[in-house]
Amino acid sequence: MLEALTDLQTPDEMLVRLARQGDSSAREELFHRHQNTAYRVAHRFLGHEQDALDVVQEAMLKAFSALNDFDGRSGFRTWLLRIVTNAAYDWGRRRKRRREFWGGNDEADNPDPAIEDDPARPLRQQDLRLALEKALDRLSPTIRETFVLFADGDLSYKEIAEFQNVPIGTVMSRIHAAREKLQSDLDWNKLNEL
Amino acid sequence: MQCDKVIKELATPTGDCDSTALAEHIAGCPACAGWANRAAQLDRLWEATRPVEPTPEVWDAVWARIATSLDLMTATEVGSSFTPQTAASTNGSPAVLKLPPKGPRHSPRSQPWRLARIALVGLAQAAAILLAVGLSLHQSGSPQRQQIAKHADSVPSPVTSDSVVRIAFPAEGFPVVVDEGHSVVIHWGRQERKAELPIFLADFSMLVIHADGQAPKVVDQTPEGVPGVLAHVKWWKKTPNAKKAPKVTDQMPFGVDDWYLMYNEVESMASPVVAWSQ
Repeated sequence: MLEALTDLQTPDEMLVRLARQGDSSAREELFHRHQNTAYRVAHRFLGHEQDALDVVQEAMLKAFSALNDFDGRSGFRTWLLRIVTNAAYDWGRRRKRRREFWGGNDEADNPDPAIEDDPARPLRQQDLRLALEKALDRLSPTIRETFVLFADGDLSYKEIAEFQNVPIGTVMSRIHAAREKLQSDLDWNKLNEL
Repeated sequence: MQCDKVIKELATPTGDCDSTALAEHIAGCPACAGWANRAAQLDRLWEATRPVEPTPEVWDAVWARIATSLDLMTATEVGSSFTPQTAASTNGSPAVLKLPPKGPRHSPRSQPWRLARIALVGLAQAAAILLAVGLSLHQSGSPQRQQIAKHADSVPSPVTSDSVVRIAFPAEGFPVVVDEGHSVVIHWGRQERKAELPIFLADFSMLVIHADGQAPKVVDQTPEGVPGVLAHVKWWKKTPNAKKAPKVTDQMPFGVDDWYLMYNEVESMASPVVAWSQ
């Protein structure tokens, strides 16, 4: 009985209500509860640890300063991830413009410290990540977004449908299409050798 | 089970399919088995390339930056939402700086900032008082004030009763200095106008300005057949943020002197600091 009670969490909606009333601990709880999901999604879009952290910070700040705009029609996490996704898109566009202006490529000039600074991380993971990113880049933005939200955003089909304002069937078709394309584009023989 | 349904269930699991039937089909169908194998490889690849989550210390630092930004945004929004018009009292005393509502408690890390804010408040208010005194002394000989003083001398003193000021004017009108928050009953010919004035009266025969605690509303009470003076309304709305005193012309509203304009300006600058001190 006691174990069951400790698993209970204050629902997001209640935390949002408290945060609107100025409860800073409720705000902080919401942040910590969704920080890692937001980070995973941002990282999938940007492929860079620091950029993903910056996007999460920017998105969380936007979310908490616009908390009164959250109407509760979708879950808080869905609403938050929409802000994170938009922030990641904006960041990616700005980064691309910077890269085009200054020249060079992002990987060589701005390597991901999570990989470069950790000697224990095998080189194969960097190769695996780059291979997957190339395959993801070949997906349309919408299909990619759908798959990332499904695989890393912990969103259900229904929540993704609310996020993208499409029927659930469309979401499932997009995920199916993403899988088909990724599975056929990736060179599994080469990846298995790594 | 048919292959397309098996693959659909593998790609987007719903839990609606019988798992035993699914497994049996995959075992007996090389095409579906290959698809299932590649799907499993993709899942493993996705897991293997998932980013390492930042440490709690990193997240604490991110949250600290967010919380600080939110606190600063809250203080700035409360300060900028204050306008002199909303601070009009109803008991006849001049407008006082209305304190913003209390926001969330400051975290212990913001304590060192509080003394700085209090000092800034004191400096800002001292500066406002010095400016106001200096300007009022400087402007005591200005043509505008002389004009107002001259006219005021020729107008009978208004009869006050608590917060109501009754004023009788000839049709040309005279400037009258009325404290904020006073209700003014204006006798103009045979007609009577009542106005609650946030600041000085513009062309009093045409406008009624209600300061109801929110944004001031302007209600045109111009009698039918009498031309309105809406230009004065627009001018009046710009007054709180006016950078300099308006040029005096015959058409300009009187009664808003430079002291008040400058006070508005300093008050606007000081209000965020005052908000922080709360």
